[in-house]
Parts: sequence; C-alpha cells; structure tokens
Amino acid sequence: MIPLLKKLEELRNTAFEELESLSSKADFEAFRVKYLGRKGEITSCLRELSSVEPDMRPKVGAAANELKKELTEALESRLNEADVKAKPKSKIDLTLPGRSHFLGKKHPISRTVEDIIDIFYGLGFSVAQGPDVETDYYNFDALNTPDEHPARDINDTFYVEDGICLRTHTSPVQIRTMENKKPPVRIIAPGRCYRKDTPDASHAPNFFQVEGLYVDTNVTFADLKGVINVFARRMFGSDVKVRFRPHFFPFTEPSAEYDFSCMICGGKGCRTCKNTGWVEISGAGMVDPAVFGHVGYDPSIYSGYAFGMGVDRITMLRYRINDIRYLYDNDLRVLTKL
Amino acid sequence: MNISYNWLKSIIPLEWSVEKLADKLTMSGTEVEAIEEFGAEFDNIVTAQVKSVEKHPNADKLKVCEVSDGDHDYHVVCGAPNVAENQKVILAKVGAKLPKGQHIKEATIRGVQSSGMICSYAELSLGEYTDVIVVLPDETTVGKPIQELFGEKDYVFELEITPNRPDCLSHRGIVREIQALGGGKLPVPAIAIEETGAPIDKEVVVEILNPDDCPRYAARLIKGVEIKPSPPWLVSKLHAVGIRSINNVVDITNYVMMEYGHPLHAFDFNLFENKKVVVRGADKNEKFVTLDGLERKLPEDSVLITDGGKAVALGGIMGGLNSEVTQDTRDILLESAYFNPVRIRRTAKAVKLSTESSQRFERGADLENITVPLDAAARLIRELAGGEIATGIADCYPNEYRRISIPLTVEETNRLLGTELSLSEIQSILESLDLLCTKTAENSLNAEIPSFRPDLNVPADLIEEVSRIYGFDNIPESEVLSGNMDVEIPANIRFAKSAREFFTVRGFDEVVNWVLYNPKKLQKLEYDYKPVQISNPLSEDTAILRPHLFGSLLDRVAYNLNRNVEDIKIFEVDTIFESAGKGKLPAQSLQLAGAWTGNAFKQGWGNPTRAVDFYDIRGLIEDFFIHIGYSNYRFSALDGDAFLDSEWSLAITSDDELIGKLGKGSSKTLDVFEIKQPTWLFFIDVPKLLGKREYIRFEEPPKFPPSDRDLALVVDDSLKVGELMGFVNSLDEKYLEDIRLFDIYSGKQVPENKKSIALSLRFRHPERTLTDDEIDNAINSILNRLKSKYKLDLRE
Ligand SMILES: [Zn+2]
Repeated sequence: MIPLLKKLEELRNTAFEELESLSSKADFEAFRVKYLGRKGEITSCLRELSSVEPDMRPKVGAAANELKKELTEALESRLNEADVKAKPKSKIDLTLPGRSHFLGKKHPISRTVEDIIDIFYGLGFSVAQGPDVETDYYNFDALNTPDEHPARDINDTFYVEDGICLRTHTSPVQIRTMENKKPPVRIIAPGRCYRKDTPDASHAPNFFQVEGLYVDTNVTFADLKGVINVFARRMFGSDVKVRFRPHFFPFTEPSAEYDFSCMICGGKGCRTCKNTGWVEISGAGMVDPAVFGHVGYDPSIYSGYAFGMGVDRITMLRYRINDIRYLYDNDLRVLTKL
Repeated sequence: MNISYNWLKSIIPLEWSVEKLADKLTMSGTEVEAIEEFGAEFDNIVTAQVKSVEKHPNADKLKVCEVSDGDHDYHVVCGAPNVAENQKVILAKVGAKLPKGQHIKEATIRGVQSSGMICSYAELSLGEYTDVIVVLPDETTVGKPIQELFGEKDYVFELEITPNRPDCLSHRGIVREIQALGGGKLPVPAIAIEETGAPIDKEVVVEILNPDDCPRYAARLIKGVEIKPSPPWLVSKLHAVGIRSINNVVDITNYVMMEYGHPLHAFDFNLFENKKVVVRGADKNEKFVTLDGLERKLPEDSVLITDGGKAVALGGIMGGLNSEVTQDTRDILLESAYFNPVRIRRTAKAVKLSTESSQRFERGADLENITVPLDAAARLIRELAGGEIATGIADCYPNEYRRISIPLTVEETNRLLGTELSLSEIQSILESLDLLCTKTAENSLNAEIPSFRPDLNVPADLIEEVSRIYGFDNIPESEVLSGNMDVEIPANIRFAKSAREFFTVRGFDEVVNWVLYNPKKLQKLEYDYKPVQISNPLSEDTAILRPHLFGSLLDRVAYNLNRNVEDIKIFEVDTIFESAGKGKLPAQSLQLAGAWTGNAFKQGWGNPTRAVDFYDIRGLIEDFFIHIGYSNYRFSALDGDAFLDSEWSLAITSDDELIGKLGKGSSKTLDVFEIKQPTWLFFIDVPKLLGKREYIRFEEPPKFPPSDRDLALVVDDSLKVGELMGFVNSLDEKYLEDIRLFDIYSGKQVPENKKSIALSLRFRHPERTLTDDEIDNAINSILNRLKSKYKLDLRE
C-alpha cells in the first residue's frame, strides 16, 4: 500500500475518534486548525503528494480531498449539536397545577328534583305547585282520608291552627290542579312535605316529594307501570328493574308501593336493601273514584293514575348517602365532593 | 303483626317454603318486613325432675340441685329463685348447645361441680323471663327431648297489615290470603265443645241498651276452672307472636285472638253482683277504673259492660279492675262482642288508651262470626283449666248484619287495569277470597260481602282485590306516549334553575335547609315579621316556618366555620313564609339569598387574594342581573335592617319597590349567630323581581368606531363617585355612549383628603366617525358642568 494512503487512513481514524471526544467551542476550533487548516494535517498530506508515483497521485489526491470533505461535514454537524446543547435550560413548567377559582355545586336534592322535572317534562308532564301549608280539606278530606285516620293525629302532623296543617304529602296538589282544569291533566308536583318525625338517619321532619298525576279517558294501571319503568331507567340506568306491590292508600285504588332493584348491590342483597334486593321508592295507584267525586270528574268517563316519589330517598340512593342528615347539615366538606 | 309459620301449617298443610310464602304474601299486599327464626333444634335438652335442692356452700344466691332425667342424676348449680324440690324442669345436659350459641360444659361454680343447666324460657329463646326457670306441669314425663313440648323450629313473619285489612290480623286471616294465592283451602272451623253445665239462660242474661254502638254481644260461662300457668307450648306460641304469658285463661283468649282475629275478654263471674250483662252507653262525666288501676273519665256514650249495676269493663278497650281474672277466679264469663269502630276510636283517643283489643275493634271486627272464637276459647279453657261449660251461648244480636252486594263488570275492571280478564277469571279470584259471587249478565256479577271485609264497598274495591290476587306483575306495562299536551314549567322553577346555574359557576355552593326554624334568633335580632307558628312543634327550635333565608344561611356559615372551612360562599333559593292572619293559609314566596365570607378569590399559587368586600357582592348581583337579562333596578340607601349593617348595605329597588338587599352582616347579627369574621349577604324577592322583569330586545351593533377619552379628576375624598357618574350621565351629552370608572386612588400622589378618580368616556356617532374637535368640545362641556357642580381638579 502507498504509504501516504496508509497515513491518510490512520489520520481518518484518529481524527474521527478525537472529534467524538470534543465538547467546547474552543476544542472544535483547535480541531479545525489541526486537521483542516492551511497548515493542518490534510494540507500537509497533499503537499507530500509529489513523493507519490505520478500515476497514483490522482487516487491519493482524491482520497485526501474526500477525507477533508468528510471531516468538514462531521465537524459541522458536531458544532450544530453542541450549539443546541449550549442553549440555556427552559424555565417553562407545565406540571404546575392549574389556577382554580371558587366553583360551587348544586345541592344534590336540587339536582334530583331538576332531573325528575326534566324526565317527566320530556314525557309530557307539566309542573304544578301548591302551598306547603294546607287546609285539612286538601291534605286529608279531598283525598278520601277518614276523619279518624291516624295520619291526622297531632303526633304525626304539624298544625298551624285547627284545620290548617303542614302538608304531609304533595298529593293536595292533585286536588288543586283537578279543581282548576278539566281532563286531560298530566302533571308532576315537586315540593316539601312535613311529618312529625324525630330526626334520625332516615327521617327528617321536612323532606321532599314529587307527586305525579295523569287523568284522561282510558288511563290504566298498565300505563302507570309503564311510566314508572321509564322513570326508573332514565334516573338509574337501563339495568334497573321495577316491581309493584299491592298496598293501601285512601286516595288510590288499586294502590301500590313500588320498588326499584337495588342499585347499590345490583339486586344481590346488601344493607341498603335489607338483603331483599329491592329498595322502596314510594306509593302509587289509580285515583280513587271518591277523589274524583271531590273535584267533579266523572269516574265512569275518566280514570287516572297518581304516584309519589321520595326525593330524599332517591338522592341518597344516587349518591350512596347513608344518613339523611348529611343532606340538610350542608357541610361544605361533604357537599363539594358530591 | 307477627305470624308463626308453624301455626299456619297447623291450619292448612302448606307446601310453600318460608321464602316462597314470604314472597307470595309481599307481592299480594301483605308485606313481610322481617323473618326471624324462632326456637331451635334442641339437642341434649330434656325434661327432668329436681330431686333435692341444697344451699351452695360458698354463695348465698346459688343452690346445688340433684336433677334426674330418669336414667342419671346430675349435680347442677342453679341461681333461679324459684327452683324447688320435685319440680319438673328443663335440663340442658353437658354437650347441649343453646339457641343463642352457649355450649353446656362440665363446670366448677364457686368450688362446686355443675354438670348441666336448668333452663329459663329466655335461655331457650322461647320467652322473656330470664331469672326464673321453666316449671313444667307435674304430669310431665322426664327424660323426653323438649321438642315434644315446644314443637319444631319455627319462623316468625313480621307483617305489615295495611289499615284497611283487619281480616288479616290473625293466622286464619292469613290462611285465607294463602287460599286466594293458591296455597290451600281454609278449613271451616269445626269445634267440638262439651257443654256439661246448666243452660246458659239460667245462668246469665245479656241485654244491649245501645245497639248502634254494640250491635252484638255473645257470652259463654265456664264454671269451676283452675287458674294456673299455661303449658309450655302455649307460652312459647304466644311468645313467638309477641304476647307475654299471664295465666292459662288470659293466655287462651290471646291465643284464640291470634288464631281467629277476634278479641275476647274473660271476667271473673263471681264478682258480678247480678247474673246479668247489660251493655249501655256511659253517662256524661262517668268514671271507670280500668284493670291497669287508673280511674278514667269517659266521654259520654262510651260503651260500658255492666253487671246490671256496676260497670265491669270499658267495652272493646279494657276490662275493669273489679272483675279481673285472678288466682282465685273459679267461674269465667267469656265475652265475644262487636263494637262500633268509630265509638271505640273516640273513647280510646279520649282516654288515651290504645290496646290490642281497641285497635282491632277500631279497624273493624268480624260481626257475623263472633261465636266461633268464643267456642274455640271455651273448649281450650276446659282443656287447660278444667271446669264445666254451660250449655249454649248467651247471644244478644238485636239486628242481624246485612251484607252488601257490589256489582262489577268485566269492562270496568279491564278499563282500570289495562288487562284482558274474563268474567270467570274475575269471579274465581273473588270467590277465592270467600266472597259469594252471582253472575248477573254475560259480563257482570254481583259479589256479596261478608262482615270480615268491611273495606269492600264499591266496584273499585273489588277491582283492587282482582288486581292484587291476579298479581301486579301479570299486568302489562304500556308504552309511554307523551301525546300533544300543552306542557308548562312555572316561572319560579325556571328562575331557580337559572339562579343555580349562575351562582354555582360564580363559586357558590347551594344549600338546602330545613324550613322549620328557630324563632329565638330572629327575636334577638328584633326581626319584624308575622310568624307562621306551629302549634305542636317537635321542639322550640323548630317552632316556625322560616320567614327569611338569612337565618338558615348564617347558621350554615357558623356550622362550616366551626369545621375549618374558611372560605364560604353559599346560596339558597327556596320558600319563605309569613302568616296572613288567623284562618288563612300563610303567604309563601320564593327567595334567593346568599352569604359570602373569607377570601374574594381562591387562594393558590399566583392568585393574589384579599378578603371579600362590599364591591364583590355588589358586582355579583349586577352580573346576576345581566345573566338573567334584567336591568330595571337601582341600588339605593338602606334605612335600617335587622340583619345588615346599614353603613355597608344597599337596597335593590325597582320602580321604587324593594326587591332585595345586599351588604354586610351587622355585628349584632354575627354575635347572635356566633360568627367571628365579616360576612356579606344578599337576598332577592323572586316574585317581585319576576313581576318587574322585561323582555330583552335586540340592538343593532354600532356601525362606526367609538372614541375613548380618559379623565383623571382629583376630588374630595368624601365625594360619592357613583353620584358624580350619575351626574355625567344625566347631562345628556350628545354622543356620550358610556362612562366607566377604571381606577380610584388616594395616597402620596394626591393631596390629603383628596382622591383621584379615573374615568373612561366613550363617544360615538351613529352615522359617522366623530372628529377630534367634536370630542374635545364634548369633554370640555362635561368638565365645565362638572366643575360648576363639584370642587375638582384635572389631574395630568
Ligand atoms: Zn342492595
């Protein structure tokens, strides 16, 4: 092998090796002078070209120029690399938490009532209202509750004066609505009710109900089952099952209590459903003909269903709240997490 | 009411399991609220005899007994005071396991060996007496497993019987339900009764003076009985259904009541002065001593059972002390009667005495069949207490019960239920409930109603029976059709929803409080209102309906501050009440109110914050009004308020009518509610606001650009900026579109007692761009007029 070619080969090896180890700008400049400068190694090799046999000169000259080109490019690219590295580190920190502002929440009871209204509004129900303080007539008499019925007792019902009580259910709104409108009537009536219960984990002396009423020609118990089923699925999801059990209320006949399959355990049985797989929601039934009598509807032409639902209970089931007092304590440590 | 599964099985051969029976009953309207296991598999527990009783050498209250089960004698230490020689008792031998889990082992009690235990009812889970042992009848054979005494392990169903179904308050009543549900046939009672005594009419005569309140009174007489403890099976059966054992005769009346549903009463007939029963109404102010020893003043016309002279029972409610069955009673007069429900209810309520008997008569007893339980009880008394039954029944029944007949058509049944039942299906359901049906036409029938179903009066009542026995599950479920109804949501509900959306986004948590409120705090604040007072409140703290939301909100502020919540922003939108006078329903209306204490902005990195102040709450309300599109209001001075500090508060008015207030809770308010930091409050009277609300109207956007000029004015620091801005607005300067305060400053750069206010004035011409000259002229004109009204300097 031509000694100069061999020298070039050795030069290539040492130069590339050296380039790898460099880091500072000054090092790169010294490298450039050492190898690529006018008095650098490659130039001096080219100068020695005269010592090579003439027919081999073009080959060796080309090899020297090729090495010069490669080293120049490699140096360039290392310089660029070093340039980037030399920039100061970024101070942007996207890991910081976002700036937050006060954010409030609707009370769970309001959320439930608003959702119930939305569901029934979509099914063609208007919203009706009535007074919290009612006469015995609307709260009891017109709802076919006998004079001597225990619900009228002062141990069960709050009275403002003789004959005026705090409504024990939202059912008086049924009467007030029917008094003012001929069928068809299709309403829900959300509102507060009052019963003289000592507060505990499942009782509050004031609580919320939603009443429902639909009266028209040919309204049946099958329609009642249908509407409660739709409500259950929209409120708790499509897996929820509904069952109706016969019961007794003075203002409906047939009367039912209706249960939803327990959404806590999926119907397998747990503490909430007392291991029955069902949770009681409220009462329902076909409007008693005696009630129609009070509002001047002819029961041979019209029929209707009525239902109630306990808002507090539904809210507790939705949010897995185990004590009704949490709903009314309004402890912000609880409410802001619901 | 409690029902025993084994007891039901003693009436019909029921093949349903406990679970199936519970499900069937629940799904047909007799809700099973709980099922409890009763008694147990007894192993190594036998009848035995106490052969000797000696004092325990080391313990005063213990005895050492020698007890034999016939095969072996056992040393047993016993602490019961009633243990005695020769008694037949129940012995739990070593190896026995008691129902509550206790294992009987060899033991040494105070140094004496004890091989077993003499049991009480409580230890066997068969009764409630814990400290006395069971003493069995002398004729008991020793060495027998006690299952032979008490029967098999049982299940007790706790049932919720709805008030319309008095007929379900007994085992036979429940069996009738089971019959309707296809579980068997309720047998007709056949009671073999040995009447060995004299004819009853020779012994006692019954007379009713008030047949409206006591339409029927029947009695039997059993002479020569022996009053003693009931046998174990009776004690445990009564215990299973929640009744305490008293003595054999009283226990029998209770037992028969639980079997047939009809309350009976037993008198000591020897305490009757005349051989008579006379039923009459009580006189005005008449008094009577019931067997609980209390003298009770009776309402007029209460039903009294008398012996022709003195009263011996308060009919249907409680017997008298003067005719009570005691240890010495020999002759029993057994009463089975029917009393008017309304009369019993009135008397029971007036004398504040609610008994098992009164509750049953109030709901309605089975008038036609009162002699059946009478026979059953007489037979059992003879069996368990001995004696001779007088021949016949003294049955005074002035007017025979007239059954009603209810017509029902197939069409009306299906019309109400949404079913397609046929007449024969309907008829067979009604007949399964022991109602007698007659077909009256192709598609109709008449049902005759026996006296045990006082709840059945109109066709709807029969439809209900059909539906619940047919099964609600079998009624189809219709698709819901929303139809073309005119659907409406009232304005106040829509308003509340909109308010909730605004205030939650502005960082307020919604609270929902009790309406029942404490008047004392409002009194302390001298808040002027007309209270809606509850006449029978739960407590003084909940004696009114709240007239204002501020009280509840302040309560919640204090509650949360006490729980280390430091920044509190809460609001409530709910009903408030004031009395409208006696005999009238109160005025009720919707109020929106809020409270804010702590920081104005949430504390956090890079969020400068400060305490909330007046301008935060004012800005909040201004923004809320923009949110709901309401501008017909102004803020004006507040002259006095029970909750607010008037220096830091304003009234919100609309057409000079007050629609709300906002400002700082007064120091007195904070004292009363025990709040130790400044708290800002607001409320809005929703109906008044809604009454003043106007429609938002479209406005064309401006076509030409505005010109803004800033003015910095140095004024006395007592000058009210809002007033000055209002003055500028009132000048009606042409093309002045808007005036805005963008800075306010007092300090080093400004002379003492002065402040600098920076205003930005926006001018615009609707049809062209304004020239600089025009704007300069306008500014000068405004400045000149300002200067003539206020002392002010222009600041460069
Ligand atoms: Zn469950």
